[in-house]
Amino acid sequence: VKSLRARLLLGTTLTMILVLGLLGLAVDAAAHRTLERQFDNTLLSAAHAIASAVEQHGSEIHFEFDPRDFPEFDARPHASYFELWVDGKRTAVSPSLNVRSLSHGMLTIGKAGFQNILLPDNKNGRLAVFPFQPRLEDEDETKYPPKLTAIMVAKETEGLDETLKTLRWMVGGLCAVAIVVCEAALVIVVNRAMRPVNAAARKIESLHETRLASGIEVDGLPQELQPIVEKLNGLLLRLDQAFGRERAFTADVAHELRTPIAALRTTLEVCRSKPRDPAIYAATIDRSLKVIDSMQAVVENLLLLARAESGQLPMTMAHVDFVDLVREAWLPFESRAREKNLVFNWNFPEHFIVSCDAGKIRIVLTNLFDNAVSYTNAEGEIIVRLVERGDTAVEFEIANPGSQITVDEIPRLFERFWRKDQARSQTGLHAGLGLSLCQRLLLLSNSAITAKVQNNWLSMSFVLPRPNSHKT
Amino acid sequence: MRVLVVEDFSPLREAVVQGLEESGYAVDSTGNGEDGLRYARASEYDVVILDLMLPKLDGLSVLKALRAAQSPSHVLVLTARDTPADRVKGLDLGADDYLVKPFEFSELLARVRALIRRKYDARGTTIRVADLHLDLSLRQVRRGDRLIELSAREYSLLEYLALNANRVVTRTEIWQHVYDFNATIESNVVDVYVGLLRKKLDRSNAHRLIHTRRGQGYVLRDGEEGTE
Repeated sequence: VKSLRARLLLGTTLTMILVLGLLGLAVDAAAHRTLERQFDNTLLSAAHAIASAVEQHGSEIHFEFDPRDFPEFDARPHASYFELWVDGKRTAVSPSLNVRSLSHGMLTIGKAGFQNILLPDNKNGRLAVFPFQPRLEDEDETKYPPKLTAIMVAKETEGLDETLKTLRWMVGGLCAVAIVVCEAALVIVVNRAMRPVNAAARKIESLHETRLASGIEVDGLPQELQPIVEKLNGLLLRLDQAFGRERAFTADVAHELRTPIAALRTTLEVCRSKPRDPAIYAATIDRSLKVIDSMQAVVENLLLLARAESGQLPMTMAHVDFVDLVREAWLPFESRAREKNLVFNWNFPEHFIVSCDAGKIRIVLTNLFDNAVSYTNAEGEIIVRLVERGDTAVEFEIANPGSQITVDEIPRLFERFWRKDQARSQTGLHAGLGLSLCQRLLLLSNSAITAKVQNNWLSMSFVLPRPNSHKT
Repeated sequence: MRVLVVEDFSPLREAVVQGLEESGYAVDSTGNGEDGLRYARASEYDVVILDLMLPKLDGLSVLKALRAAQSPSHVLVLTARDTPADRVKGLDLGADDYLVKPFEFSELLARVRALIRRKYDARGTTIRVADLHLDLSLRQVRRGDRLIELSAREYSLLEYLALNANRVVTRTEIWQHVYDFNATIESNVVDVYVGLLRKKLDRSNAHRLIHTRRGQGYVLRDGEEGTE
């Protein structure tokens, strides 16, 4: 059963039925016992009374029974019965018995006991056996040992059965009524108790995606629900922040593309405003293409980043010479570095075989070189190192001065669209996507990028694993 | 009329400058906020087209500094930020107009013209001095029924004189509003252009409109008083 309410109702109902049923049975059993004992006592006192009429005279037994003293033993409907047994022989019976006898089933005459029997008139009855010593007329007991005498008294139990039946119906009925009343009360109580849950559910339902952070009011909620709602609020807050980041990201993307679109549009509109020389048209087309290049770079980086983040970027791991990879990635920056008179300080061996996706690591290296060449002041120095990290890994490190990044800004370096200088001084080329892309690609390569700042030097490093067989 | 363009994305800046120049404006431009503020303090621009996200000094700071210095220039903020909050912030800091990228260049021109009209308290889009009609939107000049063909620079000069009609404007003022930093400084360049303009306006018309005030400057007005 999935419903909490149904589970609660079912559980309590079953328990109630069990408890009330057992209680009813116990009450019934106790009442039965008490009434039966009372009935038995009546039988015994009747037996006592009859026994008092038995006397032993020497070896003779005298039974002075006057039916007028015991009208219930007369021959009439609903009569009681008795038999007097002396030394294993029936010596006298009640007038009601006439020639019939009482069946005494399992009971022995010598032992006291009670038993339900079928009476001679075919009615249900109860029989009591009462062994006793008859009163002795003579004082000389030793001379004549007392006779073994017993009285058997039987009486119909119709009244008792009737009472017990009524009682059983009453107890059963009361239990049933109690169960129905409790059940109704339970339904009301459970519904009332579930009201805050329903209210919370309605609140959750009415939460708008733009106002997730406002969460659900904890005050007024039952204690049991509070931790759940608090956790839910925490989750909502995190979701809201994530949505906020997504919204900011979308705005950033739009923002990033608006300026180049404006440039393209203005360039083309101004060019078209009057007839011009073919050379001017060609120059305008070239300028437009450059703008398109920068827009394309933003879009491609975004796409790459989105694919990397959603895990749609297949990684093809291979054994690659890291040194070759670094040299190859550097080539496109050589001329820019020369123009700025940058000193490029290499520090690595001939070969370093690593296991990685060369294409992805090339993108990482290109971004890192691009940043270093762009942000290092003219005649500055760029240091690139490849260092063994134990037997199993190689660390790549690039360090350059001039980035102006502070220690506090290090975590922000990897945020999408974050730039030290908020202006798009190089829209497209440095849209603030490069380092987030590096971080993502290295994450996919089971590596991580680390940034450090010291004395205005920014250093970026990451580690790639060497294949197990590199020593052989 | 003289315009300053402060925009960091060079392809956009260059296109806007070219478009404005071809429309007859004297245009200076720079790619960072610091230079923008320096330029705007050095000369009285009629309109400053200001991007908000600028290196060195952001656009809003430039705007604040200009307003603090009570610069008479009208500022058109040009930005990729388009939320109402951004617009309100820009306008509250003293921007006169707000244009969101990307825009149609004709709209930028229309807004620049509107800002210039506002600056010179010209409510309508036409100025009339005697039988001279200046259509500021179409940049057309008529004298009576005759359409007068003017070069961009000549039109600028006439527009400046017309916007300041009946007021004497000095050669320096003309210089400041009609020429940009790149113009070669020749002492008589203003006089030469005024001469050219006069020829075109007054051709076959005895009634002269541009009058010279010796030692002061020029005035565009109806009437013969003080003419040379």
